[in-house]
Amino acid sequence: MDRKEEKFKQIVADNKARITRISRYYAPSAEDWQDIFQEILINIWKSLESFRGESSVDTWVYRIAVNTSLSFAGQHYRRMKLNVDINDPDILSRLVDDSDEDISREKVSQDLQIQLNQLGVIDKAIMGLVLDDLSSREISEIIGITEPNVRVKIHRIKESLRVRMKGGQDE
Amino acid sequence: MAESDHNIDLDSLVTRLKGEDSRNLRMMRNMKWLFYSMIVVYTLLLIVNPDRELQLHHRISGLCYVLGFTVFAVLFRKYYIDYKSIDYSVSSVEMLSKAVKRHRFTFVYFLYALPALLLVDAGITISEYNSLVSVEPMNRILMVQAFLIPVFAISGLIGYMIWRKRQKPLHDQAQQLLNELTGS
Repeated sequence: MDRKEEKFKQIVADNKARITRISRYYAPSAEDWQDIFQEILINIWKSLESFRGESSVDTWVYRIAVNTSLSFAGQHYRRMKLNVDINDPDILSRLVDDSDEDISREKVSQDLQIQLNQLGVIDKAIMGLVLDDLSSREISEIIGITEPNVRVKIHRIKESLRVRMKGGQDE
Repeated sequence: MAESDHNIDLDSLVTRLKGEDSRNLRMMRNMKWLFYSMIVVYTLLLIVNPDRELQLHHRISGLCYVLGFTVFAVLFRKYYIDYKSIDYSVSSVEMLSKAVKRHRFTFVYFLYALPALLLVDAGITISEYNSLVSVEPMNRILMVQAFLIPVFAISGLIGYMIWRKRQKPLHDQAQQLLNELTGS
């Protein structure tokens, strides 16, 4: 086993759960996530030689995963989803700023997935990283926009989701 | 879904990727040698060939072809490398900006190819000028241009149509995502 192969397998082993989660978040259908997963592995292999250690391996892997998903979405434009586990009890507080009592658990189950899938491609990509508990600084390093801009975007997306979940009209 | 339910065989994937790496390397090497060989063959045949029947205009025309092919070969090699080396490990904004740049259709591409076109044009004109001896000198040049300019124009149009079908959708999608990200 040569050095590149060894490094590749180590990175994949260390980040398998992360890559799997990202693949599942953005997969257009349940069957497609494995295609994204494989595409991410291929792009990790292709990018290995350009890895200079300027960012952490985690950030580097996230960049490849998100960029691959955006490119994958490009091939199947508008089919990109943001799939979440609606049975996760914390999902609402992670996606919407407050624990608004107007939004009932039952309504969450019904509407959350629909509302998430109506987000734009970039908003889905950002919220996928939010779901993975990444900080604004980490998201800014992955996406390439400033940290305040990331915070503004996340706030807007959450606000938009909150309004829609309450049955209001998004601006 | 459980995390373990993906069935990607990492070993066979790595074998496939290593195969692709060596294929790409081989293709680059072959392209490089093909390119060098063509320059050497054309240089020997048309420029330094000691054949007494070869006149100066043959040699000048040959030199124009060699230089034209060289410019084309360098351009193709550059585009091949650009397409093969898409870096997914940069930030999304950078990746999308590069994609927009890579897939756009600009006048600059024409300017890059112009020296090669002019050299090939000059090569053909010099060669035909000396074979169409029964025609007036100015008309010889115009006859060659009347053939070459439509050929170049049709080639350019075909290139544009291929870009419009294959590259434009990718360009527009990357631009749209970039606008969404940067808020412009």
